[in-house]
Amino acid sequence: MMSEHATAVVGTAKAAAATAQRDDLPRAGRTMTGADALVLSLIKGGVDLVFGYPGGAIMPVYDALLNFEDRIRHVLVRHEQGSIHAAEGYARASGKPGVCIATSGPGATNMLTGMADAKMDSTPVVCITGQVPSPLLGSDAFQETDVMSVSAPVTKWNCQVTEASEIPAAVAKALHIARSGRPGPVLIDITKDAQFASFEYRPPQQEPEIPGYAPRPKLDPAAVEAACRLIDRACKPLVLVGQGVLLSNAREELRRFVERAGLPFASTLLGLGAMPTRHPLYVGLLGMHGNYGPNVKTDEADLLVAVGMRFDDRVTGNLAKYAPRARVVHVDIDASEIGKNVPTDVGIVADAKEALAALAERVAPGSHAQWLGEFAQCMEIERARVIDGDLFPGSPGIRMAEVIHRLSERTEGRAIVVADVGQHQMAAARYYRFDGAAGIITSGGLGTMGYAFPAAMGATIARSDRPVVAVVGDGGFQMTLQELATLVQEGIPAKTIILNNGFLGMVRQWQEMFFDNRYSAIELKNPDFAEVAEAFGVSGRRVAARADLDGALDEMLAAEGPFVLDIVVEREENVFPMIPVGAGCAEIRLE
Amino acid sequence: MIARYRLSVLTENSSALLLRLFACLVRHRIEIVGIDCTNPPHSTLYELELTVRADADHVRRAVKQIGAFVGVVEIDYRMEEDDRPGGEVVA
Repeated sequence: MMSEHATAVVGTAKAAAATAQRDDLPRAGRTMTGADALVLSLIKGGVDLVFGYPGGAIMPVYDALLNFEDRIRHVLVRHEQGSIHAAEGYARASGKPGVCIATSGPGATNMLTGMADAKMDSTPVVCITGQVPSPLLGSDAFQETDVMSVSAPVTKWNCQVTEASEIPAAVAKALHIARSGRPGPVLIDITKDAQFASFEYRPPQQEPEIPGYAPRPKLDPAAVEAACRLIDRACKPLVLVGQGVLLSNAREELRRFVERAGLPFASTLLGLGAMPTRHPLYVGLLGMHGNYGPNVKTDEADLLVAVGMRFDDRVTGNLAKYAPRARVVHVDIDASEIGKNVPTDVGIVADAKEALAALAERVAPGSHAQWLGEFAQCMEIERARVIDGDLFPGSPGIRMAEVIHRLSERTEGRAIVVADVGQHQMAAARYYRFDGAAGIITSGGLGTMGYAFPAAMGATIARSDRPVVAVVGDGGFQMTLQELATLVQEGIPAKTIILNNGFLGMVRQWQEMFFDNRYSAIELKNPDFAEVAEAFGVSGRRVAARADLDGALDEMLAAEGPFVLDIVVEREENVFPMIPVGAGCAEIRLE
Repeated sequence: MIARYRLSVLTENSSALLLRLFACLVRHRIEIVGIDCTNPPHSTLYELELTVRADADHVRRAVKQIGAFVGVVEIDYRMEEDDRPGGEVVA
């Protein structure tokens, strides 16, 4: 009998093979419904997987999916928020747009958190929502919501379609906008009458020209020259690597650039995995709970070269105190990011791959051994005061860092780590040793609890070549755990580690540190998550003793199907280092 | 300093885009005091003239973000009292 995992892999391969033979799909001139045209347009746009949940206003599309079920796989989630986070995880792991489908009204509004999340983290997602028939628009009909208005601020682009003939062009435009330039979420809202109506199908232009939309800005050689002059003269340069490097697949260009000029580089949370964390020029993680060195040394740096990052407040701390001695070179594909938060000396509006290739070619060879040595000294301080205690605690309770460290060793840094939001997220970012070919998938900008578990479903489908492990807290897991049923029904072998401390840990840490130990609404009385998993049909194991940890991790990683590993960790552990709110980077605290 | 500014936006005539534009102004706490829209002959694009009241930094940030919207061809702005051309052209 074929295992569930094998069934899932075969299903995906079948869909992919069928998509490769798109020539047998209906051609121009054939009469079809808007719903059929929607599914056909997705397939022609390269989509072979959608996540969704049916309902009244999207029923014609669900009927049409049956007509193409050998070409497109539908994953039935248990909540629309699960569908969009799964689509996000799929997109981040595969580099292709994730697609999710929901009905009107609550179906659409349940996806809004995911849209906001994808917007903040530049994730290409196409959301398709059903809408009440066009004659009922504005009448407060059953399950009518003005999804265009509510989604406008949290999407890159949205449109409402009321004519069947407009559907193919809308889908082509949506896919193009979602994945080009700075990627992001888009939404197509389709009235039910447009889904039912028949029309003569005409294939649209796959990459339509859109007035005012220039997704690939032309690299300005003068800006590159100006940047190189600053880099060549700098004594204490620091490169800040953001997710833009991953989105533009610029790992190799980044390596050539930093190695040629001998530039120390640090990573943002979403930039992790752009290069191996063992690289000799890598100096650590930036940000509120990042490493000591890159935060402290930002204060001393005379040049920052920021690539594909947006100077988020979690990275900069108090802007008034940020990098007081540094000139700033900022490379970003989105012109509106240049100078938005931090004054920029040289702005390079370009795709990171193109910009880094040009910088690598023109920058003078160099090294900054002494400056690099200062980062190494900082790391020794952090090791003595934070890391050793995290990895080798004297207390009997398991620490989050230990778990991540052991996971990292067992997967040899090859895993795609899908982290939720909170203390465990910071432990995953700080202690997993990424091999530089895959990175972390997490909700960096919006900080969406409940993101990781469904996102890991999508990532698992996207990447059967690497282990995919969700790392979640007991709070976040309970926000989306109903997707356990999806794992079983769809045969998705996602692995989940719950770092369970019975608290909303990060909120508890802040209440301890900044609210005089006044704990308010943070203690969680939890079920036994292993038993919950088993009730859904997912293998589960609960671990509370350090001696059982390695064996449990091995069992999880070796499992063919989905697995939930509930690890009881120390209840009142705090994450350090930490930049207190309102403080500058250099004021980072080690305890 | 709070002042009145005039924003000129050359844009696709899409209600969704206008929604997005107004949402951006609201987010930056920019008060809209006047709106005018014209469609030049033989053009699918529209010229939107907005008179707003806000502080310069908020206007600058909002204009930059609106300039990045899909479908906005060009946006510039100037203080209403300043009749001279040459405000910042963003997109």
